[in-house]
Amino acid sequence: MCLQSFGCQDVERHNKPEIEVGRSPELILNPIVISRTENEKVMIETSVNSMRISIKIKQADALEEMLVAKFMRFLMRRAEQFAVLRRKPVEGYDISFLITNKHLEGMMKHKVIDFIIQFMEDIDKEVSAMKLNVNSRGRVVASKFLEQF
Amino acid sequence: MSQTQGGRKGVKIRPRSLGFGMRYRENLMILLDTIHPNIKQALIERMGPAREEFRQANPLEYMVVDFDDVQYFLKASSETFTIYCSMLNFDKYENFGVKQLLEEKYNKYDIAVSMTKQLQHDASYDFSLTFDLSTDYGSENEAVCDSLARVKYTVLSAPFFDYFEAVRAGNAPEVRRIPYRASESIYIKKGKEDQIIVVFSVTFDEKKDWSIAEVFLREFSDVRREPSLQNAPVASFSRNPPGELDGVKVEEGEDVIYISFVLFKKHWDGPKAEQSIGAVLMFRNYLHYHVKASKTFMHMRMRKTVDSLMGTLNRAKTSAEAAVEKKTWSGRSLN
Repeated sequence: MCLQSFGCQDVERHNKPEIEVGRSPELILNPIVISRTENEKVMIETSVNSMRISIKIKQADALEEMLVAKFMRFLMRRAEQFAVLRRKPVEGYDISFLITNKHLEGMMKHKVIDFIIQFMEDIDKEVSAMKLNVNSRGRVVASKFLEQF
Repeated sequence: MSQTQGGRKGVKIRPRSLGFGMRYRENLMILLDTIHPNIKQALIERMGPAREEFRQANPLEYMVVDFDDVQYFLKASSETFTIYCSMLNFDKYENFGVKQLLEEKYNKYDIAVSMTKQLQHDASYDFSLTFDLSTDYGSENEAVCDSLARVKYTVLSAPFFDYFEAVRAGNAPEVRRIPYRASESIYIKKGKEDQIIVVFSVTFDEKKDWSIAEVFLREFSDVRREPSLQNAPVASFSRNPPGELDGVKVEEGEDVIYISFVLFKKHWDGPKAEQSIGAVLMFRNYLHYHVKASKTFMHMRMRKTVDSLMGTLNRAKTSAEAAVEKKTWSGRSLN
């Protein structure tokens, strides 16, 4: 997260996140992929003035897939409020963050990292809690209905 | 809806009105009520000699809707009350004993049943029930109101009773179709021995809803293993038309699901028949209602999570950005 202000090399007086522009390979570092399983991984791409963190969340069945999709859509619609959240995920991932040197000027690095970690924990927790709730509701729904006979 | 988390025993949901015919019944709080609350209220307010003043002061012309594209038009003068009712594809199942059942149900209360189509405010209604408001039903007052407020179920249960009667007589048709919604139907079929199979075709407008509904439907077969529910009908579901409907023209499409209930003799033949049919008829709306309730609950959780995450992110902001400009008593800025 050692990001610094860096003017665009192609267009004068522009300052763009290099990781998104991607036109100057010398400014982009090798991406790091940390994966727990095939379906659960984090990719960190860094460049001189910006970094992108993409998360793929575990989706074991159709219900989890739907829950994750719903949740991520919900979050990304609120990307404006989150500042560091990207409106669209990087291909192959469920959600992405884009952190630029601008963000780090106003925020503390270790707290931003805390946020990302808490984010990952919370999402996992929420998805499994929602799944449990659907299951328990299903149980009540089914037994109440069948009790009528 | 977090109250449902407590499991089967600790289910506690406050009985309250959800508008539009949805209401938690006091003791069966999760089930949908078959009685339409708006109709019931309109009737209760006007029925009997004691309410004469009220009905003279409040003549009524009121349109209400119910599940499954059913529309009622309530019309009350100071003497008579008429419920006009229009139901989708009514003419397709009208001949399956609807008239007989309505007469059997309502004639004993001196309620006149008219099966002619009538126009009210440019809308066509399939049948109507008329009765004299000054009749004193005494202690049966509420029973009459309830029975009128669930007229939709009475009509839809007629093809069932008619079919059961035919099964008893041994001349039941192979399959009976009740196209009660635009793209969804109920099929009734005689199964092995004394069983009767009821198949629903259900569609989900939103494909994602199906994944929630699937979880619910799986529970139906799981829950039945419990000893207390062994008597319940067997429920199963599939994405392809079930074998029972071979050779029958059914709704087809990617998002059609077929749910079948196998009713045993004790469900359809005997005093429990009416209750069983009521429950079966409510099934589709019940399923959809709970899918939607689940989604609402998820939405509530997601909102809460977003709030807590926003809090964490805000904590990352350095104090310089978060600090409010401080001013002296006289209003001068310190910087």
